[in-house]
Amino acid sequence: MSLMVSCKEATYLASQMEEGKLPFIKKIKLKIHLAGCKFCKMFAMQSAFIASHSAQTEAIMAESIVLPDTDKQRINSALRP
Amino acid sequence: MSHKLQPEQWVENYSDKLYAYTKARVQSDETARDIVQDTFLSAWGSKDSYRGEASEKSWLYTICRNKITDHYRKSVRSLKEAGFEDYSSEYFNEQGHWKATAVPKAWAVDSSTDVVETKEFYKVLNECKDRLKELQKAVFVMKYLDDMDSDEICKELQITPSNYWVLMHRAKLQLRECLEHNWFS
Repeated sequence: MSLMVSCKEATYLASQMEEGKLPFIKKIKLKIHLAGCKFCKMFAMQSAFIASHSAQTEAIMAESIVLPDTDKQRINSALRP
Repeated sequence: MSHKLQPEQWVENYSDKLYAYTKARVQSDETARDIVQDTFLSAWGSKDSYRGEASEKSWLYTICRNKITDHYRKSVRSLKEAGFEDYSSEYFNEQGHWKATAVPKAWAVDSSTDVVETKEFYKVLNECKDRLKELQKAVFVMKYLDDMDSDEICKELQITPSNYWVLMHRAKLQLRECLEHNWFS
């Protein structure tokens, strides 16, 4: 069994590790790869960075999102007895 | 205490919020507008069965959430018919090494620092997120906005774990590249 994985596979496994879903042997494979590959190491760090900053986008964007008036009028006129 | 519905206030009180909620979760604005409209119409149609156990707000959000899930499942069905296209050749060569054009570059910030705590950064991140294809966006949002476990996400979308990891892999590759080009360069 080879312990070597490609960058393509390593980046695929990185999400599984981030979510705590990587089986032991694959974790070893990924760690060996990351120890020797600065690009995938950067990918994993940047991916974790994206993961930890994404939730905040929702509240920040919501401040400026408004349903168009034409939609509001249409819905309002449909919601009449 | 039992809650009461006030349909005459729905649009004023909830339409912008439900629209923002839906827009964050589906790909096109048009789909989001349709879902919001459907949410109110469904709610109106089933208002007589409202028992007042949940607040009006959470009742409406549940209806909206179900509409979003229905929409995702439609995308899942068409993806299953069409098959997952190969995306990895944009980033990796035949040996699975990074292509020169796609190699990650060092970012000015690699850990959470206040350099990125600006609205501008989150706008760019959100734009990148909005460029993801429907189901990549779906898994990404369910994971990172709704904080769901991958097993729950698979169940809700009716996809296999390997479908999930492929969608997430692709989402991360694309988001990373988009942020690098539009913020960290």
